[in-house]
Amino acid sequence: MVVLLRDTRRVQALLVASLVPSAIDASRELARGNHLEPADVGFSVIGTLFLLVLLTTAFDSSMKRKLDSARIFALLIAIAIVLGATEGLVALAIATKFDLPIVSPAHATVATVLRMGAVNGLLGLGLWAMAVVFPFAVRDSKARAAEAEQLRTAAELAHLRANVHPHFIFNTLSTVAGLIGENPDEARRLIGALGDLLRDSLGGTDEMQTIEGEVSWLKRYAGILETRHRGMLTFQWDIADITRTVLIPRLLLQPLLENAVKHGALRCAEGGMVAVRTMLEPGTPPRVRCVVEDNGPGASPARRPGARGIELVTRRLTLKYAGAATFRLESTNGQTRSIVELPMEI
Amino acid sequence: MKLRALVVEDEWATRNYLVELIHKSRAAEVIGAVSNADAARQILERPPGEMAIDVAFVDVQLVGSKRDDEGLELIRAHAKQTTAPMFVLATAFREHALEAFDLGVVDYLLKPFTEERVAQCIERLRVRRAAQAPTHSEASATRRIVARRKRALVFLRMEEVWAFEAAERLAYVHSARGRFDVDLTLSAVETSIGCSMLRVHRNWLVNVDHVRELEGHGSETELLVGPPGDPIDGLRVPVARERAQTVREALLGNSTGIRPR
Repeated sequence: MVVLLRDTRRVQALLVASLVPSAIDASRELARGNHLEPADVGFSVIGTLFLLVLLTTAFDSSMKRKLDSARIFALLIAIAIVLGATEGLVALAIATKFDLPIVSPAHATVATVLRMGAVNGLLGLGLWAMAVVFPFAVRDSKARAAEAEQLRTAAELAHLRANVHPHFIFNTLSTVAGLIGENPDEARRLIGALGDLLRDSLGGTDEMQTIEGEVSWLKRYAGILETRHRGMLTFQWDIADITRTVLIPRLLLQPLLENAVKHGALRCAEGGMVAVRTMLEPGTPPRVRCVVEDNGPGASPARRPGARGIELVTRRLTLKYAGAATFRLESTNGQTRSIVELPMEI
Repeated sequence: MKLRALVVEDEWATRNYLVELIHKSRAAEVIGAVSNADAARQILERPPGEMAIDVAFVDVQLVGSKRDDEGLELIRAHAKQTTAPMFVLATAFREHALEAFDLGVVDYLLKPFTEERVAQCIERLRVRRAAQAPTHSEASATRRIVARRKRALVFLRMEEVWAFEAAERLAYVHSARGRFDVDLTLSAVETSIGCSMLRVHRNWLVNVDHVRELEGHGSETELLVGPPGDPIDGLRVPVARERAQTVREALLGNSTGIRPR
């Protein structure tokens, strides 16, 4: 009871609900041309309110005792039938004793009063469920839908992020196997770098990281590729200091770097170059621009493979920024540029 | 007779490693190790007998190519030819296994390689070759190695080779025809194509047959390698101090005319 009273919205709902059967009753009587009996209406309102409060209390205490739903259902039905029938009897008794027009005398046998009382009780239960349980169910399912959506987004983001290609891992392991005899120090360095990369790409908890962190990851990734393709690949880094603390989605640029290496620089017979640049785009509000550029044969971006990496990046930008970030691919005289522009977030 | 192998692999460390594992099997020798499909084509398209190859180990993804499965394309183009060698695919995943099987690829090596698996593969190749008619006779098969200058390949007979030198990128081979690139590190050369050579320095393997002079300058020792005659044509090779004695003894065992100090 105390618990019930603490929730004013539930009390309001109960009060309103308890008026409903009386209102329906009254409007039916008026439609038939009969006049209203205040005692009848009053008794009906009080009876319904009492039933609803009792049902709520029973419901709350069974929830507290963690009864299963079938038992709660049976209990509530029993309460509704018993209380409804009792109210019928009480009404009959009052009507007979005080000669009040609560029950129509034409039907005033005990059996009909009990039956009608039970039916009224069940109708009251239905009303109660609508008033008290239904809003909860709606709120609950809304919350669950929102949670599911959130989980889906989180899972998709995590999936989009776990993008160190298995080929990269196996080929690096293969290089390590080859280096062990030739240059053990280099082999050890490579194992360490690969471990760092895997740790960061699998276990990174935050969706966002600073450009500084992103670039240091990319440099290790690039370092492994440089070792594997010695003499075939060079990297250039041009990171504006002011952008270092800016937050971007973790490993967002990795697929772009991978594309630039695989489909750009390494397509050059004599080896190629990849440049990574970040800079501030002045404006209100200022934006961050990240560019990954290569000198591979990439005349037409449309015909160039690596669409999967681009898909990853655009999907992540959509999920995270919903249109506030842009991605584009440019190709001019022997250079291919992937450009990401993001809102500046620190 | 040992199987003659060609290795087509774009990553140098993996290439070195595979070459070493092939030599470790003692049943095969590598005569060419190249990093791209164009070089592989030049070798495979030589007239039979001149560059006889029994087996080609081919990586699927090769850098410097327009496509992602250039290695498979190479096999597709050559597998049907009568003079084609046996092919072994070497890659990180099984994703191409079915197509490889259709192309008649003999074996499929997964990276990173293991010694046992490569040995097993070479045993398979030997059994397969024994069942086939030989693709080349012993006599016609002069031992040649593959080197290159930029994109152009050269095929050197082992007798022509003066020395191998460790280079910034992999190794050089020196000969009367000039200096060429070899797409292996010096230590891989030493275990494979250059196993008959003498290691005289951290950076040098020398063909003892071409050593013309041994010069001592104080504590420094140098070899003059190359044809007799004009010394400018020759090649000066430093000898590591700790190896000087071994080199001296090896040369003495090999020739006359050099007096020990």
